[in-house]
Amino acid sequence: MSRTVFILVSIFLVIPALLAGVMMGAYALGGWLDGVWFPGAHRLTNILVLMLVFVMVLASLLTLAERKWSALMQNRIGPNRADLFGRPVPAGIGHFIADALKMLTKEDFRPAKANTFLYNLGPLLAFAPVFALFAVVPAGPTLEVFGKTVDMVVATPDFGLLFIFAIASLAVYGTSLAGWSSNNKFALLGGVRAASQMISYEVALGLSLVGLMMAFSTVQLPAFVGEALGTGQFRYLWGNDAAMGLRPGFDVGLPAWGIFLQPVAFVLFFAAAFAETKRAPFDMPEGESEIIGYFVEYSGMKFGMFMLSEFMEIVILSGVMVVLFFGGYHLPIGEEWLRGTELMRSYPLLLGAVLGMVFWLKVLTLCYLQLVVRWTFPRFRYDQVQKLGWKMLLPVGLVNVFVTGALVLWDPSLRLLALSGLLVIAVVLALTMAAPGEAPAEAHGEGHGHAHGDTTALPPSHAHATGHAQVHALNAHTAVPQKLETPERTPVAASH
Amino acid sequence: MEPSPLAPYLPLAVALLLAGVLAVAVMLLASVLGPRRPSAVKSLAFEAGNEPVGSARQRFAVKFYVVALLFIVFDVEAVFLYPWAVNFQQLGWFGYAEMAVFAATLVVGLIYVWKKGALEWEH
Repeated sequence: MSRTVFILVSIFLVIPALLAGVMMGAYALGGWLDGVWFPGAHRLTNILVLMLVFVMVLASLLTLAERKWSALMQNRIGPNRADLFGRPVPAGIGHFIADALKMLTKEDFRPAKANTFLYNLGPLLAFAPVFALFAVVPAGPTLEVFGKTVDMVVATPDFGLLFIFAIASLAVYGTSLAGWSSNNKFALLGGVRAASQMISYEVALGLSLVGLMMAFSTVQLPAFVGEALGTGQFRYLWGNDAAMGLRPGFDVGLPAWGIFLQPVAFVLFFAAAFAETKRAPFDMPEGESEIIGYFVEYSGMKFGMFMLSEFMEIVILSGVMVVLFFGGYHLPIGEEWLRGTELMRSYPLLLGAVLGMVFWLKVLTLCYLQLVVRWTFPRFRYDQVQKLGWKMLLPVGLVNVFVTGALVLWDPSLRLLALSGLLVIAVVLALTMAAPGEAPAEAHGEGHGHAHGDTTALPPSHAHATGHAQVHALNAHTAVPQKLETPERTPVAASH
Repeated sequence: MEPSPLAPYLPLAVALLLAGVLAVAVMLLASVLGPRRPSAVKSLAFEAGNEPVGSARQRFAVKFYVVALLFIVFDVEAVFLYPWAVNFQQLGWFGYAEMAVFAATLVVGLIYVWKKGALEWEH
């Protein structure tokens, strides 16, 4: 009971208050630095607050959240043993500090046969590009703070979305270099699988957003979000806002968010980007229960950088999805009213705090969605991954581009596009509701739910497969030259 | 002073630089803080506890190269779509038809590799 109360209080009071407080501080800090240094200096504090504080801290907390949330889903308690100075800390917070210290002070190990330079370059190339990604994601509105114009984004280049595609695809070098330079057959398998999977899904990833670019005629992320009322996603498709000639007390309507305009693109983008993060169900390159993965020879902080970059990818992917599909920092309804109130007019910092909090709450929700997906679905087989990427996502992406194009040209107000989008959402919902429990994945999940009353830290598929996997791995080892020719079936997927 | 046209890109450069510096710094810090006790067994490749047999530098399936080639073709297609998509509403139905012709040739290519079995992983 007290645990439920603790979780509810955290979700509805502590976390929003914390987010709002930090965002207000970020605006105040930016306004102050602009005043004492030069106009535009707030971009530097934005680097500090958004990239170092928000993304890094959220990513490290997600490593803990993943263990705690999976424990919740499997009716376990999860990590709760680490104390700080002999005193217990709630929610296992001590564990993530202990993990960081452990990684930093572990032996900086290098296998004798590895290629030193490339072996060290691997984690660098996996970590650095992912870290830089958040630079173009806007996390709050542009406001007047202490007489200075402060925005909550590191950079607003015209090529925003292209920057994300370009820098994100650099991470593939890190994983394939790590796999190859370790001079280990499992690492090599993981490396080529990772490279092949990431480039396969990059095609679908690139195609999925073309429809949104057509609808909003831009690739700049703040333009997708919309700074001024009536631009980007900051407007209603149907609603009683000022554009409709009405002056309501409180504006309601259907916002022009990407998810309503392009639900198919959202599913494509989410699936493709999820495959890029190499998390279950797309975790063949890592496959803990069979080949361990491209980072099998890495330990300590070098492994930690691979792991941390994976969790940063979760945060950044959520941020990008919020900006493209969920209206960025905008409220779904009532934002025009909120901006018009006397309180918000006199204290712009408050508006920044509220809208910044909205942005980060959306990001947290999508992070949670990604963890739920990761702990719900069993791993794909490698041929299924390639099939999904090339035979499903790519054709659907191409069709989506041209259907969207026709609808946008037909009705430039995007209402027709939104109608078709709502229709797709309704059909998907109806299909989901109509056939509960018929999907093989669900039957699979129920099949071995009973095995998880204990406190094992393994995900469902892995806990179940450990026994097979050891035998399997030994077989694979003695026959690696042949095994390299054919993809290894995961015992989990094959035996059910 | 007139701001340079490159000024908007300065924060981006700082962010990229910071990403590189941070990654190197963390790795250096870990190598300074950690102990260093190498041994012959520890330095072996970890292959499920067995002694490694043969070298890991060997040939792997040609399918991975096929995927890489297909990636080049279709990703370049996607890149060609971006400038068209941004100017889409000015180009109108004429631009739509032109790009449909371009995409159709690539769809023919996709059908060809599909029928050829290049997308089948199990062979």
